[in-house]
Amino acid sequence: MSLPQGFAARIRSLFGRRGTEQRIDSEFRFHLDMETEQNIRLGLAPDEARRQAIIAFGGVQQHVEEYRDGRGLRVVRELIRDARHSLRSLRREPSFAVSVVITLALAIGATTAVFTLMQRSVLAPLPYPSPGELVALGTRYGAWGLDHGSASEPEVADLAALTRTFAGVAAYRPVPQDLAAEAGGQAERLNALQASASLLPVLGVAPVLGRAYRTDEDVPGSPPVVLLSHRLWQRLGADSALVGRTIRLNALLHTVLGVLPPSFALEEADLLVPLRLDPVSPGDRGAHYLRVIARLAPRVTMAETRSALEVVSARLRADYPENYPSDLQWSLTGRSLRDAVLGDAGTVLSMLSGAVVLVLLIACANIANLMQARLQRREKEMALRSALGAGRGRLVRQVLTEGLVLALVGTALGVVLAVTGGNLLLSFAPGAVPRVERLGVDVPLLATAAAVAGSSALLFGLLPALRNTRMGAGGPRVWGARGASAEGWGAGGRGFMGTLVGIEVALAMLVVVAAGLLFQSYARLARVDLGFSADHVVAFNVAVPEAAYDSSAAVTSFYGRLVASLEEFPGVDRAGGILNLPLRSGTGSIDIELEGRPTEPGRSGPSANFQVVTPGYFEAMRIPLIEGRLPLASDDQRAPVAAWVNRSAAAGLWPGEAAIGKRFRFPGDSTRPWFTVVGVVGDVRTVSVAAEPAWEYFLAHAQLPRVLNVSSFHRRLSIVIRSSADPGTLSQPIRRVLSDLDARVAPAQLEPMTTVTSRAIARPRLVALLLGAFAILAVTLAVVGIYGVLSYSVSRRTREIGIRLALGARQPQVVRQMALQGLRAAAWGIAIGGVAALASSRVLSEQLFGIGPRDPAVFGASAIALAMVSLAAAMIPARRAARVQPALTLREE
Amino acid sequence: MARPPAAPQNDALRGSLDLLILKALSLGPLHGWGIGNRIQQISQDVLAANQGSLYPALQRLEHRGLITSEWADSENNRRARYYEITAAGRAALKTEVATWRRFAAAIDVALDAR
Repeated sequence: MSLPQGFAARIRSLFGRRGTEQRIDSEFRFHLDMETEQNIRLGLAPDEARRQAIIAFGGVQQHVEEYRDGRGLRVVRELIRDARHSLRSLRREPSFAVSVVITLALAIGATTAVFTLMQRSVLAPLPYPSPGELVALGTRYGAWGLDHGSASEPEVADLAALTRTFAGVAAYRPVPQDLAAEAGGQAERLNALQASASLLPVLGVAPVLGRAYRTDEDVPGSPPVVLLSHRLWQRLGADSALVGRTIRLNALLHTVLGVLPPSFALEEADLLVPLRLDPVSPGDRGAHYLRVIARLAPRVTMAETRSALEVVSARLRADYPENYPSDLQWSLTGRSLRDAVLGDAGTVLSMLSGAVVLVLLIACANIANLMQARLQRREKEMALRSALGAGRGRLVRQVLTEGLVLALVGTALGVVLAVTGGNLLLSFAPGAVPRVERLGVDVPLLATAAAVAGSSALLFGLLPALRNTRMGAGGPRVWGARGASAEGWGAGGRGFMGTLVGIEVALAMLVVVAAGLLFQSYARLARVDLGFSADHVVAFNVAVPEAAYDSSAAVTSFYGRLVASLEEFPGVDRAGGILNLPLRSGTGSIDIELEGRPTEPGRSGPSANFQVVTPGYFEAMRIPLIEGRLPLASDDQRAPVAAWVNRSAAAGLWPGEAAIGKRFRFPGDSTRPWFTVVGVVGDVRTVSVAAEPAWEYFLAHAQLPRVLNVSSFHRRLSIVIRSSADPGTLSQPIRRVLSDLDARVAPAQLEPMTTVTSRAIARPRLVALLLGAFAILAVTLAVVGIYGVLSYSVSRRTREIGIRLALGARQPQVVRQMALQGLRAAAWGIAIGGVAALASSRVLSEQLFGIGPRDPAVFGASAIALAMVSLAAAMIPARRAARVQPALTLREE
Repeated sequence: MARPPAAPQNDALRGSLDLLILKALSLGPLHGWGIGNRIQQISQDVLAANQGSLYPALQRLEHRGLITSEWADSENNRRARYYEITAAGRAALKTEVATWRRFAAAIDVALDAR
């Protein structure tokens, strides 16, 4: 019999018993038949002959059993037996098993969810070939703290000229497009990118259907073409015949050239249309509106790229001092596309990973302690089995198997928790985790869970296993060695279990401090005065198509009618429009020149956020008027150009003077009209909740065409409506009003303003909530640890306590002594955790708002809170100790 | 579902049974019942009882590669499992016999000692 065959037979015999059984049966039956026949030949009656044969054979069942025993892999059989044994002995102590499994499930679930998010969001490479070569380029204005701003058309040309550094440079900008309705339906707003023809080659992406647009289709005046995202193509019916047909975008017919692959996910674009930069007359060097992606030339490093950018930046600063005044510290910048996509999500997820690992460690320490206590209760059993000849390996394996069984059950629950919890999280804060939409049970997630579970099972299983099966010089430890040995608390709460509890408290302290800091920071963010009132306000974006609105008068009239119709709704208080909605649309700034203070050459004029408003905007948002008057319908094409400034701008541009009546204009050309300040309004947090309000000025929408020949600023507005009606009920009427005015125009991002403000602090809220949950978990685990170990210690020392009570010790003394034991471990845990937190909390600095990373209140409160719960956890078993009945315990032994 | 482990057989008995099986098979291939019969003949009915214990022993020997088995038709045209000694089995038999003889001699000496 060859070895592999024999091995296969053994495997078979482990699992498929049927075949083996059959072979055994037929062989035994043959034997019995032969024996019976012989007995008959010897003269016995058939029945008796059979009986004698069976007797001679011996117990059939026993032989089958022994026969079977010889087969199979002994190790695996023992493992299965160990597992059964574990299950049985765990069933005897359900509270132990349940607490371990729940602890594990929580810790493994949290860890798996965070690690999987981390893996998919941060660690997974971008879905493009050689993603490491892709860089995001932009501009830096050191003076404004702007590190990765957009680029202007001439700057893109300058970057594209660096052919030794870049294999290709592509520019794009997001421009929402209205997709015309199918018959009867409503127009739909889509995310579109206007992108240079080089974008797809730079990314290394080819359309899955049709073709990309060529460079000669990416010039002004070329016929309109469009590439569809895979998602949009599927929504439109996934018909390959769509390629070559036309769709109506922004009221213009576009030919569909092709369909992008599903992996293409730049800026969540639905469409790609040519950017059509004019190579003959590039736009203003100061008009920064393009995002730039480049692919590095072969073997060019990031460091070489940065120095090449610095060289060209220095040259440009020298060539164009009027555009790049030295005091603004302008330069071209680059970073990996991955960093650009992730933003600070990487930092946040790393922080969460750190916290979750701490929780996992606490859980492991806790379980190790539970196992240790359980093993010590089973000291006798272990000693007995050891005396009966079970080797140390066998005992260690038994303990490890128990850990494995618990880990398996805990992991299964943990995976369920990870997926449901992770998806809850993602639905709670959509977009908070870049590149991940939802979690499913898949191989990488299961692998993560298995790795987490395996390492934790080793941590909590092996440690006690090795400690408790140690064979000293005098053989294994035997029964009778009672009392609080060094294995338990030891004198200063330092024994094995005491140490673990101390470590747990220290780790919990770290998590609690982090959570406390982030919660305080979030609370401060949530209390920030935004400068407007979001309640009862609904906002949406509108852009009228250039093809249909070629005159500024038509645009002005459209918005005038739109606002008027909206204000006719029952319950609507005011409605108005603004170019960039606070906390949603970002901002753009345009330099200004103050009257009487011409900008010196080589210096920059004052810069402030540029906004456009219609009458009604300030009232609808309840932005207070501080001085002067609000925009009126009379601020039209014929009236002098009026301007409003926010309080910061008024104070900063004209310190110590009244702002009303002052004049300013766009710099550069002395024929440009002056704007007269007619009102000062309150500051608004426009860019982010955390950022201090910047200087801002507002021009009247109807007057914009007179001062700025950029029609796209005129054609799009965010509309806000203040209404006493429920924001949810406004959606349909708004859509109806819009389609009545012009069926080609669709509202985009229609939502209550409270959703906007809530989203603005969604990430910090999510992080604070998550860390809060981790902190509660950590503290609970640590408390359970203290309670469990102290209870165990009390139960082990019942006799000692009984004697002391019998000898006259008073109950409060006993309580104090026992409680102190637990508190000592907690105290040094808090101290060590506090020091570690002081040393490491700096990593949180960037996530904190309005609070330092070493805030004494948070540290103090964390320490006190941990001390209090530790005391509470210690008091319960300590009081139980005091209730010991001396007479009973002494008799017990 | 745990069972009490089968009572371990005395090593000397187990060893001697293995030896007897190998000895029986050294004379030619046989099925289980035939082996039992042959041992009974050789041992003058000492091992008559508990014929079933043959089978675990046969299996043990097969795992050790000392014998092989295959199903074949028996003399009365029934399917039976025939066992055959291997080269390794013959070598083992030789050393086992030698060992056994030495052991038996030692026992004799010990029993005779006064």
